[in-house]
Amino acid sequence: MAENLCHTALNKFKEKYGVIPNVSDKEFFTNSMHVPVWKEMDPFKKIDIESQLTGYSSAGCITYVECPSTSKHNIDALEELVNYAMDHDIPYFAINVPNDTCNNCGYTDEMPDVCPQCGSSDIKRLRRVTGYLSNDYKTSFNKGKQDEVEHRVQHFTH
Amino acid sequence: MAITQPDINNGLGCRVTLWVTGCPNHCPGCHNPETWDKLAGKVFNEKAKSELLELLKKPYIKGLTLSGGEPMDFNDSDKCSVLLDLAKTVKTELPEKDIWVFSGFTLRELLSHPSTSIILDYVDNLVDGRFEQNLADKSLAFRGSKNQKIYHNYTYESITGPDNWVDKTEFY
Repeated sequence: MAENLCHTALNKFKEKYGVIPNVSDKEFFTNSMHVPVWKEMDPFKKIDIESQLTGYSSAGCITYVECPSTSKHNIDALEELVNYAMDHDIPYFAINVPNDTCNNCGYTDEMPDVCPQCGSSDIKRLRRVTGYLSNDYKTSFNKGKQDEVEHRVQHFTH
Repeated sequence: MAITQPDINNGLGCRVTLWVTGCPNHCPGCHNPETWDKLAGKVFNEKAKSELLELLKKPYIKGLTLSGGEPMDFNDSDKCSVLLDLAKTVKTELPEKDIWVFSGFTLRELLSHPSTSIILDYVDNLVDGRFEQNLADKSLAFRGSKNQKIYHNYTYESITGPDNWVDKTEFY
């Protein structure tokens, strides 16, 4: 759900209906066309499900797949994903690849806690959260979107 | 054994990966030490084989990857005959699918043993060699350390010659 609404709408909902498990027990609402972001599912199944819903919307209906950073070595796999999404009439498709940069030495890759090259924990975490690539998600988005990012799972086996 | 899919970290395209348990190499720093024990995971029987073939039939699956553990243990005749049978079946029933193998042995070692060289006849790509911690590099595609190589088998493209296996590491 869009940048600010995912958190704002949730707060309004909670004021009226309280905390309902799997509905309002997190800091965000999931876009109604999306499989819950924490659901472990292979990317083709995700496209199968979401492609049944995106046709009802005239905008704001992106379907995305969370990929590991190693997907940069596997263009064939990414091409297969794009073709599959297009064959299922997905109007707006994104492949999300984590892109972390060490602010100390400049090393760029997906990093768990510390930079594997210099050990620094000063890491800028670039993610496609909503819309386009922007700044570190910890400083650029509200609590709802931050919570959503932390609940997201990757859709390939790893 | 275990089967995972779709896998994009072990060969080009989206793949079905068969993790073959049991490994004689035990490289220090191994990524999958839980696969060293031959009895780890499930038994690869006829049911598992037919499930694997069903998964491979999906149009977006490019092929089969054999990893481990050590899929190419030339001293384990049972393992070699099961994997030879699997590789033959895939190449007969699903000729459009390719086969990648990840082995801790080198191509030369595998070609020098009849039990593994006969399997290699059905394999398209081999990533070979032990994992060497002092040569480890996280930025490499499909490899853990710089000594490992990615070979392509040109048998299927009918290039004849003394050596059908060509080192293509630099292209990945």
